[in-house]
Amino acid sequence: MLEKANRLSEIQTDKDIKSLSKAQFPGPHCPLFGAVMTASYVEDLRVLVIGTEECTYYGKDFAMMRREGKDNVYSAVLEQQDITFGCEEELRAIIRKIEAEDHPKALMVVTTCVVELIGEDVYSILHSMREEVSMKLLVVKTEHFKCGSHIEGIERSLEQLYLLMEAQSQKERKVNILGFKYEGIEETELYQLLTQAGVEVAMTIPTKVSIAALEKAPSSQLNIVVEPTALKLAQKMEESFDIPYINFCGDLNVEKVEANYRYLGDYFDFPVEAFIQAKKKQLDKALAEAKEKLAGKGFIYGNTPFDCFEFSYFLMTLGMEPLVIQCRELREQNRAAMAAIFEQKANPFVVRMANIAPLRRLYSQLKPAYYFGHESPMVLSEHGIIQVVTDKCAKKIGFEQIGEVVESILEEKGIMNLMGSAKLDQQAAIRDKIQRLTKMPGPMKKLLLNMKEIPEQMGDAILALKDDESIMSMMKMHKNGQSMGRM
Amino acid sequence: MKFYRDYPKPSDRMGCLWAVNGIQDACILEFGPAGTTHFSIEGLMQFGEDIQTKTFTTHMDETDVTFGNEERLVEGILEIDQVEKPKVLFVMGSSLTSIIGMDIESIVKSLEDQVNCQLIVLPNCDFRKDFRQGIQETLQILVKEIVVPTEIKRPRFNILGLGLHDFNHPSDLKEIQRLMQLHFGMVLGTTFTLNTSLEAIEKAGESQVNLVLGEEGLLAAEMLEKDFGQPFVYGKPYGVEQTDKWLKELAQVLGLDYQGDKEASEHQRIRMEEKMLMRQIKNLKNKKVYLHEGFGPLPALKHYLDYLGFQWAETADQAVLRFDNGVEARGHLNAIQVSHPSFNQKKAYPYTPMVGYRGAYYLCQEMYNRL
Repeated sequence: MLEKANRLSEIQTDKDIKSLSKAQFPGPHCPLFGAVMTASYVEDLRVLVIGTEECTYYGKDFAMMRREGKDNVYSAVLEQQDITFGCEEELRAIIRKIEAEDHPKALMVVTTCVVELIGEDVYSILHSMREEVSMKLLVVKTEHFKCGSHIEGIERSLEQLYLLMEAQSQKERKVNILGFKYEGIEETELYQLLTQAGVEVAMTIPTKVSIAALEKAPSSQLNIVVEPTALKLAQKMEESFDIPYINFCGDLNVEKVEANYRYLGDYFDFPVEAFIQAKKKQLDKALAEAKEKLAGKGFIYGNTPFDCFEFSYFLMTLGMEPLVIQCRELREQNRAAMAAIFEQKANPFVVRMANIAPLRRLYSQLKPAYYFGHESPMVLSEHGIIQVVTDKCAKKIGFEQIGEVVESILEEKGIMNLMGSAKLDQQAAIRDKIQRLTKMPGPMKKLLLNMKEIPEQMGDAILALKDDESIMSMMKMHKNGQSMGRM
Repeated sequence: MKFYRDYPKPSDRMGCLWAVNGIQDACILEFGPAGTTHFSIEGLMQFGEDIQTKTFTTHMDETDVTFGNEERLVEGILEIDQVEKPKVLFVMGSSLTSIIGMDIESIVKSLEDQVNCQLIVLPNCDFRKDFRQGIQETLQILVKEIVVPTEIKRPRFNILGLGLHDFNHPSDLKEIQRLMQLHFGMVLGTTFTLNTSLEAIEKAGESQVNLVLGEEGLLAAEMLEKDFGQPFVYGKPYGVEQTDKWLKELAQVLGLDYQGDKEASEHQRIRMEEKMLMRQIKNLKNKKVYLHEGFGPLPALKHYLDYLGFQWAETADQAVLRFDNGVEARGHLNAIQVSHPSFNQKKAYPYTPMVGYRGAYYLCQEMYNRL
């Protein structure tokens, strides 16, 4: 199967990245998913999805789940005549209706594959309505046949948020953090350092923002971009409101983090040297431990919150060997990390992401020690592969993010770590039970006992087994993908 | 263009996929952008079933769409046949292949000699039909392409028109099975389609009768009657009276002697609960009930609520009691969930039917607790 795949040295354009099979399972998420996800962060932003019943249904459903029943999504479903003759007049009527009946401050119009295929110029229609309606109109295209995944949907939606902003007089020692999508910015080292230095973090975009708050975003002196999908928004804010930005995206590069903190120190005139040295010292210890443990270990890159090549290169600096890198889509900013990997004499296979079924057939052939990303832990355990999931590392910024990644590897935090914590006595009972199970294979026992935390659901299933009962039925359930999570 | 504030009605394509996903050993290949496949796989989890069906996508890029390139479909079919070795591969287009006019039927036909599996093309997306029509057409295809002609008849029944999308299907299926075993000594042949297999559908012709619980099963039942001489009974039995009638009609169709409920004491008890509820409703100042039809009409349930003495509210706010989807039921104490969509509530317990005698028992209790 791998004979169809290209190695890193053969990858020049995105088309050179082949899927391991023609029939993919489950395939990547589409940009609509990314757009709806991003829009749902802004509490009073209304969204109109235009497309087939299927696309609009899934868009609505996803927003409904995300907002626990209080979503802001409307649907405009194309019918046969709209596909043949276009939908301009009806779209105008729907926008007028939303304005007249609901009076939203802003509406993000999301177009899907069919709208793009029939060539309806929604951007021009909305542009011509900007004088007619008082709500602000944003447009996001999410045609999946023109791009690789949901990432472009996130990027395009974030970029459009600049249209909600209004020119403000800039206030000194005030910054925005762009691209942080989680609760708890206050707990990050970046936030704490800035606050201690008297720099106010005015806003975290897109987390917990309203349209009114976004209007005032240009009052900050600097934008700190911590996630690549927010870079275009930062560029738009620079063009439109003259706010500079610093690229603080996590690429697991200690020197870059150090340089970024020095830049902030210079920009706002506060000392950073002691902070940097203390953090580096702490990190050096963890990195040394990781190098000792991981040298020569092969890995498959599945998916993480980081860029696939930058993450893989980071693992190589710890002495690991990349066997397969799964890539969502090739982007220009990947080139530097790709070159860095190649310079280290590594030439892994680079294949298209989100196609687990054929990859599983390669585990026994490639024999990786580690798998980084979402996959059934039971399938991996059958092949003696250690799973590491780094989703939680995206909630950290700077040195602490690198430290969190290293800790996740050293503590072998698999997909189960994303789930809730169980009580210690329950954990002890599960471990005790595992040791008493006579028909559980030895390697599996070892793997489970090595887990920092055995998830509650799996624990319940294990406790329900008789000591001489086979674990195969439980494994079957997990193999069917129930633990796979989102790709 | 149709405008919705609430959920849009699921499409025919979604109905086709839901119907095939009720067959555990089925294999599906979608020819279209990957995003809808990913969404549909995750969407099925909402129905609370352990789906075993394998659904693949070819994905499509701009070049495929611009030039009508069929290569991904051809290679995908050949690969699945070789690697997965399915008995049947269901092939499905997408909105894009439909608009650009790709002739999937012809492409698939040209591959028939190159594969070991049976290839079945599911209906094309036409931007007009809803999910019920998608299910309806898929069930007819299953009857036409999978069911094997037979002279054998066994004491079995098939169920049509109860699918993954029906909110209470695990419990309703169990209650129908219980009633059929208790009153007629018959066991389930196959469902069209819930947790079934290709082999069970092949043998559908051996059953003596078909029970059509939803309108989407009606045309397939007519085909089974015409082709295999299987009679059918159409209707979903809500409440004691409707269940009595339903069983009598079944007995008549089967030519069996039906002596009434064999568990008379339970029957009596449920009848009493129903009567008590009807008295309670009669004394209510506000008798208005709201039925959110969500995925589609629920005529049999509507009929039962009429029978109990409720009046109809135009909006949910006017109602003393509401029958709703999972999203609304989650936030309202006076709501009983009868349809999807749902949040991720666990629904593994299969003993809370809404149909049949025990369904009446359960529903009366739930209504009483909310009034």
